[in-house]
Amino acid sequence: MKGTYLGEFEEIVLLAVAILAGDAYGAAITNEIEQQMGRSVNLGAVHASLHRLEEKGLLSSRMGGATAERGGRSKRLFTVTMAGTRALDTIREIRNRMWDNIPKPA
Amino acid sequence: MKNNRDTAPPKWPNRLLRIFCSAHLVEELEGDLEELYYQRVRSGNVGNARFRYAVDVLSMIRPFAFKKEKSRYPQPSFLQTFMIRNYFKIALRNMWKNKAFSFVNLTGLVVGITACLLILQYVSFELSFDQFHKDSDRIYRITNDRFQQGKLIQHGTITYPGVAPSMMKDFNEIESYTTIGNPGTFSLQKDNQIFEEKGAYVNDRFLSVFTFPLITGNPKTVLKAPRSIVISESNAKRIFLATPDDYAGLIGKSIRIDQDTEPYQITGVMKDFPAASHLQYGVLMSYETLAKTWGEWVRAGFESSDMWHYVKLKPGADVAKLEKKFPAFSRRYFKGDKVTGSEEQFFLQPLKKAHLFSDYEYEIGKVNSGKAVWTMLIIAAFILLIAWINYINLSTARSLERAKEVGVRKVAGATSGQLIWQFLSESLLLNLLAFILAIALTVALQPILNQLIERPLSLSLLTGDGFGGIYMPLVLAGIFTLGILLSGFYPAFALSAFKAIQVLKGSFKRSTKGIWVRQSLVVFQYTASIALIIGTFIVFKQLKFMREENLGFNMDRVLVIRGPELTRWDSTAIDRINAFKTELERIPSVKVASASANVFGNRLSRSFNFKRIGSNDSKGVTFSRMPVDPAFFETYQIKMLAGRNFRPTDSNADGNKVTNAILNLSAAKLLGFKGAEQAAGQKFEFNGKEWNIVGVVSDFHQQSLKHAIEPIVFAPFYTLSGFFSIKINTADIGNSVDLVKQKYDELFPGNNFNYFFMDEKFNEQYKDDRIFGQISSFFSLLAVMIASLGIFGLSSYTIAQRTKEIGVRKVLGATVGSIVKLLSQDFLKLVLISIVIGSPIAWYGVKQWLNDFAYKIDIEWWMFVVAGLLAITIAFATVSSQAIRAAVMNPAKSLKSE
Repeated sequence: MKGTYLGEFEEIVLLAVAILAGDAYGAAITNEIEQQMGRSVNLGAVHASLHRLEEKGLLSSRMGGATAERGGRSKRLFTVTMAGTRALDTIREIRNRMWDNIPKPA
Repeated sequence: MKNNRDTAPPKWPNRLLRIFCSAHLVEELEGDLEELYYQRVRSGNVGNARFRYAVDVLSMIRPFAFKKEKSRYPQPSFLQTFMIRNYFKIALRNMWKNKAFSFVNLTGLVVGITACLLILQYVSFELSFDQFHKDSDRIYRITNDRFQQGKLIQHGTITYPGVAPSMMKDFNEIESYTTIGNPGTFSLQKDNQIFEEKGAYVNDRFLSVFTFPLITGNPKTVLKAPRSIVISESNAKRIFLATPDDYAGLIGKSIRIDQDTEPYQITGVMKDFPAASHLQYGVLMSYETLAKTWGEWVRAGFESSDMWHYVKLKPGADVAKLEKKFPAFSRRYFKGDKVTGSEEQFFLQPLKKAHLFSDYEYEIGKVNSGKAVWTMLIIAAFILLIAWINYINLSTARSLERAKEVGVRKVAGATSGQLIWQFLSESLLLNLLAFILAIALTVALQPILNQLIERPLSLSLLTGDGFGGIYMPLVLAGIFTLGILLSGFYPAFALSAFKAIQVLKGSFKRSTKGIWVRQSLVVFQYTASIALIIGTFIVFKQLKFMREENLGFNMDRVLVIRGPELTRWDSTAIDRINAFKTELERIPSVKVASASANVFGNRLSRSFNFKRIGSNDSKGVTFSRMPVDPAFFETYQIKMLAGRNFRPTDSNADGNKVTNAILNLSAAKLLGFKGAEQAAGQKFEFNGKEWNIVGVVSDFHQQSLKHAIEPIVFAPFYTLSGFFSIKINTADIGNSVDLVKQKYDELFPGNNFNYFFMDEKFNEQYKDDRIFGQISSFFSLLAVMIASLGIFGLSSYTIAQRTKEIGVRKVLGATVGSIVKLLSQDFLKLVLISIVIGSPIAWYGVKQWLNDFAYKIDIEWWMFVVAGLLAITIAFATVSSQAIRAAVMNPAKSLKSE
């Protein structure tokens, strides 16, 4: 298994999956990121990140939930694994600690 | 949701997606794409949605999309020990089950590899000649072409003594040179014992130019002083009964050589020359000796062409550039043709070529035909290919039998990779087995082959001692591995590609798919075989032609004895020779006896500048010389065309008083006479003397038919170092030889009695060709045999598959003949194609070989027809024997089966 180092985009995708909690699939994640970040994202980039995260064991996936909107094709639904949650926590802790360490202007 | 044409997503990105994306991802990706697309369409701009759609697809061209789906089942590794064990077990069981088939397969491979190994040894040995010298790539032999009136009259390795010393002086590129003079067989005398040995006079650099190591003695000085002699180890043992400890003690001992009045001093003992050396001497004598016995001219003379020179160039010297300087060199020393009366051209022949690629006259080394060696190599390659093709054909033809096994294995989860491994390991096993058997067979056959071709061959020639050194075994291992893999690959792929469902359902019948591959392989095999048959056939025709061609003289039952070389020449010599002849003719079984300086089969010495008297043409011509006595022409039944034979009074103990000569017809014509009658009684000038042409004899083949008939001048000179030819008119030759020996020992005591029969000696010239013929025919036969083995296996298999068809045909009234025809014609068609392809190849090859002969047979169309018929007969016999068996079978039996 690859190291749990997360790139910036990977971190965002992981967060988006967490936000969508149980209904995270390619199109929904793309929309979520576009809304949150206010910028357009390529579907390919999202899928590539999803695959990497799954390889790293931070996400797991299953097929399911075909809708008419997508021509009856099933979705790949992603959920954050325990390792994924831990990874997000770690990142957050580190960030918080660092924020705390910034000297406050007097 | 609108889903009309205007708002549907563009089609081409989807098509693209399906091309690059692995199948299991397509569904979810398309779903996401479509979902996003319609959301975007709804939120406004269709154009923008279409654009984003395309960009999204393009953005998916990333590694994740190409990856194959992970299997849901466990993937055992390719090679597991228990599976490998199983492969070999199955392979052995299969071989055991089809004994006849395995036998055919294995026999082909064993015979093929054995033949290949034996031939390769020979090729390796022949190509390794003279490579043991330390600087063999820098050593060259000086060759000398001689032209008279623009016509090449001599193409020799023999040249003038002064050539190499002058070149050494003039050309910076030459590091060293050695000169060889008077090579031949010498009589070494120690305490009244006579030992004969081959040797030569060589200058003191001989041992530094060449790498012939000394056991004792200083290589720099052993050949310096006059009458120094270096003997080989085996001569030290033979003559002095020395053990290796005694060699040092031999130095300083004296020994007598031929008729030299002064003894020679042994200065060193050398290792025997390696068998792969074109020079083969047991004794080396110092060149300075010749300066004492022949005269000072041997040091740097330019008048007589009697020596052989080898030069060693400096490292990096440019040979082509050096050779370009030779014409100027020739003009400098020979002043046009002022010195020798002819134009001299010099060349450098690489030492590597001295053994195999040398077509020179007055050759001093062992020469073999490079063409013959390459031919053998090609035959070896053919045989090996044919054997491997057999393997391919037989294994794929049998594929139907294995199809069920493949199907079951696949159902049980075998991947095609595993099946390929299985069948490859089978071919590996069979090839390995064949290889081991072939090596055993090679070792067993070695002595027979060695005796037949008179060469010290062994497997070590292929493991580093022969041509190519250590690279040889590596290259061979590479070739064998490649061959085994390639011959294993095709059947392995063909077998592993069967579809499990088809095979197990039974709808899989005959494998017609690979049939053209098999057919073209058979065509290749037969093309090679037919080319070999034709080649062998024509080689034998030529050999027969040479044996039976009228040579222009009769050598039946002619006993030849060497002259008494150790008897000193004096004024009574001619009388003693004549007395000996008279004594011989008193033996009842001796018809006539004759003395001559030379006999048939040897190249005669040449002399230049014979001029016809009474003609305006002032330029001289070149003749070969043959001193003979009056009985010579009668002994060999050579026809006198005009004039008279020699008379005893024509000869004289004082050679200067001899002025009568006889010419052969070619010589008379060369002098410008129309025919024999016109020449008889005329005169010519030679050596500042006028000669009478007392007679003209018909032409004859002095040498083998590889050489053209030469113009010859006969003069009534006598020599003690010539030959006596004795025509015997009884079948009891053994007794006659004893009687001749008695007389010889009485009249010429102290000489060795050496004799041979003229016809045997003459035919020895064809020995190499005969050996070539025998060996190549034997191996061609092998090639044909292996190819037939292949066709045998293949036909037996196809016939077995058609048993039912044959049964049905018989029930419907087909005759045995029509069935045999049906079964054979497929194979005969292939053989016919092979004949068409093979004939021109053979024609070209044989033409090259025949070019070596001055007198040769014509290649005629019927030879190809005979060879083709032979091939068809063999193929037909092979196939029809099985076809007939299948055709006469009771149809009730074959239809009941299954």
